[in-house]
Amino acid sequence: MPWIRAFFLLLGIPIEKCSGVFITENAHRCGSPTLHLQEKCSKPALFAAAVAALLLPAARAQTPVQPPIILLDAAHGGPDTGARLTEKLPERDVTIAFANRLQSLLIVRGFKVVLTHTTPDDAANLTGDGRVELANRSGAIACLSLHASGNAAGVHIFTSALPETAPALQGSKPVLWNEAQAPWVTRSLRLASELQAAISRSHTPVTNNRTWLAELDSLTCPAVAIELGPLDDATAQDPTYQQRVAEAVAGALLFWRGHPNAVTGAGAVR
Amino acid sequence: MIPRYQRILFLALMTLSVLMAGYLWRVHQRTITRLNSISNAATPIEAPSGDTTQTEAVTFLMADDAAGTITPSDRQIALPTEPTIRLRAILERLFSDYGQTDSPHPLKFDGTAIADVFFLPLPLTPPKPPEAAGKNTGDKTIPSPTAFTDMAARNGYMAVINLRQSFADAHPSGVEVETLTVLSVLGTVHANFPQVSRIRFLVDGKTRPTLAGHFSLDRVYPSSDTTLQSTKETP
Repeated sequence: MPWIRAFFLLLGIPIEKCSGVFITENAHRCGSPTLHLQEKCSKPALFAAAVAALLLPAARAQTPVQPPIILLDAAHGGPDTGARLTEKLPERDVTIAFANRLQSLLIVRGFKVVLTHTTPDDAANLTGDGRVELANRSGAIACLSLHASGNAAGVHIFTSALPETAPALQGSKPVLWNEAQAPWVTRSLRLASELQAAISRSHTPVTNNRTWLAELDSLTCPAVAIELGPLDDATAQDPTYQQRVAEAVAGALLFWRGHPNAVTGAGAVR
Repeated sequence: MIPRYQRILFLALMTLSVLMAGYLWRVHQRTITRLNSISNAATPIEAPSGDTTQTEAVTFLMADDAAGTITPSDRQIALPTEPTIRLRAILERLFSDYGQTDSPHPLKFDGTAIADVFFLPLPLTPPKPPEAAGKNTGDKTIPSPTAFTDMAARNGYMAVINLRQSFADAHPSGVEVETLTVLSVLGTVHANFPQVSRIRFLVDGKTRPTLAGHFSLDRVYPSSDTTLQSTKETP
């Protein structure tokens, strides 16, 4: 039916061969509707499809587009205080403050933010594997593990030191728990590169290296660890310093949102 | 009246007793002299052989916290020939340098950092007996799920570095500082022991999840060049 094809093409709706007439909303990735049309269909069915196609723009407008998800894991918490930045400043207090600050900036940029915990005491019963399971189930396009240190100056970005393997769709085959990040390393390196560029533009010294961290190695999402070190006379707890880095990170994630590597995993669990 | 023969006998016995007492005193003195000579002549520790007196160039991969780098640095030091003692001496020297107050990667700890070092030939699984190996030649090889991590482990040795707990407990906490310490050790082993393909850490003979709360210390690491050029982007 050439005139039907011409009609659909005029509407800007792609036509594919299949065994029936379907109009599906591929809202999971980009929200663009796709019409699958069988070549030998009855006229009533084609007419119904045409009417449905006319109604698609309205349906598209009504379908809520899921905001992309960012997972923030403030490292340590509960009895695990982490490093001592100063005599009375444990790492867990700094990471949770930075996570909450970053959460606000991400929400106003249209992201949905999943935090592993919101206060240091929330993490009392949160194990390392529990954090990773939460992250892997979140469907995040980026997983950020937040750290703080009193030693090395500036911001330090880390990706997993696991050997890079070919990117694979998660769930297609079992993976070792502590090597689940391997298929995601290429994407994680790309994310780290974007974050480094953005933080550098914010006039903050930043390094980008690879390391062996248990929490990174088990994640099935583009994942990086960000460590805030002291800067000049300011500790990592300094609000101005945190705000500057958080805005740079939020800006980089806004750019990452449209990046082809910003994909989510099915969620490996232990 | 004492008969004459009794007086002669008494004097003879008396003289004999005095002679015997003198003899015993002399033997006693000789014994004391001999025992003293044994305790004083404690054998000194054998002086190091000529092998250790010769210095040689050793490559250390030195970490720098400020720059976030690990750079090779050659130094002339005297080393023994036995591989495990040699590796231990190299690592002790590395940590000794980090223990200096003006070190670019300062680590504060008491005593020594290394408890023990030993090498294990790879692979760690026992070899199959000849008849069993011949029987399985036609079998399909099933790839190990950890194949990619075992790839480098087919040959060479695994160096097991047993750190002291006092060193690990005193190590500064932080992703960057812990990573630089371990990468410095891995790179130094790689530079001086090419026969080592894998490295594993223990702390007082046990596995430890992290070095100081961050870096995973319970893995088996590949021995590789860990030189880190500066990736620091400064405004």
